[in-house]
Amino acid sequence: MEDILLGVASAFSWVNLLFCLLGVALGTIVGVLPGLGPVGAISMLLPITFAMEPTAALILIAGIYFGGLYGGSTTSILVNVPGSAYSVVATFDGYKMTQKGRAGAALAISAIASFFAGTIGIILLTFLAPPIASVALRFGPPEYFAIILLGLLVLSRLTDSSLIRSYMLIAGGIVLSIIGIDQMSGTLRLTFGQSWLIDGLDFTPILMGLYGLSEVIIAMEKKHQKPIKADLSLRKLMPSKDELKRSTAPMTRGSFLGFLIGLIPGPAMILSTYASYAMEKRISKHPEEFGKGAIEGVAGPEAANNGASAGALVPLLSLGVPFSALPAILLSAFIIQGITPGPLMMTENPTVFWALITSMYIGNIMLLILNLPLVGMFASIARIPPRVLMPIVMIFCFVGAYSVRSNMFDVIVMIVFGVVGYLFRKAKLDPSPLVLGIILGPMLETSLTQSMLIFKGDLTMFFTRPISGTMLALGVIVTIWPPIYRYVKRKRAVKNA
Amino acid sequence: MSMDRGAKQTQTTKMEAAMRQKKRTTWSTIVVFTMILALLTACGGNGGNATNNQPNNTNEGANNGNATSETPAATETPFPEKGIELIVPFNAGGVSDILARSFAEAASEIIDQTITIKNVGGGSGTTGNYELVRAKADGYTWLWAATGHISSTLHITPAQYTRDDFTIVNKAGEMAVVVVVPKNSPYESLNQLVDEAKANPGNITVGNPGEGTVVALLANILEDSQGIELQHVPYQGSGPLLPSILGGHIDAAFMNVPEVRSQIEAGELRALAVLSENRVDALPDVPTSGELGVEGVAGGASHFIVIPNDVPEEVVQKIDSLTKEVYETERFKQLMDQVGYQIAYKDSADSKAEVDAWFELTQGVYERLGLLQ
Repeated sequence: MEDILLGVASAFSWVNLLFCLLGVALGTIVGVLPGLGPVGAISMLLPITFAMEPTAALILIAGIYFGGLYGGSTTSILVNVPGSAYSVVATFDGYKMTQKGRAGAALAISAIASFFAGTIGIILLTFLAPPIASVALRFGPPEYFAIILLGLLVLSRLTDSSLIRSYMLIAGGIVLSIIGIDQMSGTLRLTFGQSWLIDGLDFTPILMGLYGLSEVIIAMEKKHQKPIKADLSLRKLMPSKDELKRSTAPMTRGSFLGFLIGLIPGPAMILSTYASYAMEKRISKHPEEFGKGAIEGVAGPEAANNGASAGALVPLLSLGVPFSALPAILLSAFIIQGITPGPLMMTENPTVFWALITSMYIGNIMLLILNLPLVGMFASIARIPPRVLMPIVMIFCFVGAYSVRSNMFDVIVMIVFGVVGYLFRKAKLDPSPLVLGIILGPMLETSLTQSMLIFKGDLTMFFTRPISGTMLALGVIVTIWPPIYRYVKRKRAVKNA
Repeated sequence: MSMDRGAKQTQTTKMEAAMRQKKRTTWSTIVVFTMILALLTACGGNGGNATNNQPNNTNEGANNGNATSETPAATETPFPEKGIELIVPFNAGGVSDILARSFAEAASEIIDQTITIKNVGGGSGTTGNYELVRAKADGYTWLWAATGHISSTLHITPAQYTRDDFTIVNKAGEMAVVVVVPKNSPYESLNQLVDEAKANPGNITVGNPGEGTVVALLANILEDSQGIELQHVPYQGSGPLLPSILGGHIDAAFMNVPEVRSQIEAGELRALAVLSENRVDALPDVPTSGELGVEGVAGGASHFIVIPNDVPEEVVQKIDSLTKEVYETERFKQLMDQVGYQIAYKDSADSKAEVDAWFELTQGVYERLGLLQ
């Protein structure tokens, strides 16, 4: 108890408050800029933290971690450029809201949802971490495979286009994700002897091309485009009472859903945004508004990725196990400070632990205070006439794609996918199943291979393990139920007629 | 609906004010945008960043350099006279990167010049290595090399250089590999595991952080030396491997000591043996494989300072003595201790011998796996 109080007091010392503010401010900037994400920013800052006092260093880095997620969707909402994979979903309805002149509301609700989910996530993290973490360990490769497969089956229904088309796009995405050196076997695949393909395709340039650059090309087609009219008075910038009311339930669901998904290794944050979007669309009384600027489509996923970021800290803090790149870089930061996260952290460094947790609550409040005033400034970007804005967006895409790995090849990838995205729009195809394939493909393949090795070829074990068996059964139901349902309905309709 | 009407209303009433304001907001936004862009290019473009913050020392160093070069009979070559670039052939954030950054941090006590870390990831380390091979041979470009890409990786990855295209100055240290099992595993020693694998070939599932990695190769070497067959389960790095072994989804795992030390200390994992010649400081109670009678299974990822060929001999000597001093600093020792890394200096000849031996040893393994290129 004394340790907790000491930790809380330490978090409130002015030095640590300052580092917390610095962290969240830096994180916000990094989040807003496409390309260099929080992982890159933290690794660049790591050497500076060597000389710092452990608590301050970890508070700074945790600030960047959470801050990066706040700003992530800004460019998605404003100019249709997802700065990272977890903000792709924000383009679906966020950008549509901007086009309707509600950029302010979309940005504000995204900040509010982030705050809401972040806080819920940290509360869950504070009180439930050890028991939840042990549950997470029951998920082995077969369970991951089942989850990803279930995810793909459910999410392939996200778009309005035909199911076959969705499946084919997912398959196409998986093929693209295979390119390069296979991390598991060390063999080269689909590189055609080209050395620049060895490292494969990074998905950030692909996203920037598919969504951002293609938007620019579309804008070039149109003559005389009028800037979007948006009222910038404070009252109009904030979500209306009705919008807030519509967002409350999606935010709550998104927070918990995100937190749970955050416990899964791999691309949890990305998966959480898609899952929340799919859920809100399914639950909504007016699903036809989704994709046309429904505020629920911004609030839910935005809450989900922040919930997931808190969830991802559970295995890190209570087991010392990082489930994805972002927690992994946090682990490095901990180790450099001589603090090992995991079962012993609470007993060996209780003050640091509680100071860090407290700083997360403070950081979240700081982020909300920091981000809400920025809404006005960012929203005014939406009023820049397209002939000025679009070239800037284009530069943004180029610089962003380059800065991911400081590599010209990524810029070319971005351009190619810009053209692909343009063709998709012309054909009225939604590229999101392709994106899902690219993002989830590697994990689907890896976990399947690993499961088969663990099972020594006996695939029936997928169904005899309780968790994976349940998930796969759900997957079967999700796939075969709708056609059966339609068939029965048609039969009944025929009978009635 | 109401929101549309609201927007329209304010449009008409505040039209003029908005027009005036619009121009200003537009331009200020563009300026802010451009500034952010410039910032991004500045920090993202160079792909690396200076590690030592010594603006004063840089000047001093330059002045000293001038002073010595004016005295004609300088017995010692003045080195370094300018900043040094240290290429890390991996992306920022991994173990090798952290080690290199720790080295650069500790080096600020010994070397009067800035050491700039440049991350050149890709191609399993070969891309960064090639960058070094092409660098100017003046001694100001170093490579923080790991065992793989200067030896065994060349068996399986097409690279634009050979093992003769660079010079190894010395060895900084090594990460030992440890065999771990879950805490409730029936295996209490490495010998029991080997016996079980002998009795039931292919029955024991053994995780590794990626086929072809130094760690995974050790599992293959164990098989060869003991005449056993294991069921290898490769993961994409040690991150995903750790929860799988903690959750008991696989029977055993081969991992680098720094990555599992805390789990072993906490009693969540049981360490059966370290695969090195000597016991490691980070896990003093864990026997080596040799102690257990399992011979010929020692190795791990070592790190070396590598420079281009044809650097003048006296500069090479100077780099050797300077970096050796860095390895001996309290700061470096402390940082490495926290990570669980073993500092183990070897001079150029011994380092080369170690790398060559690993190259020979792994050739046969790759051949058997059918991965040899």
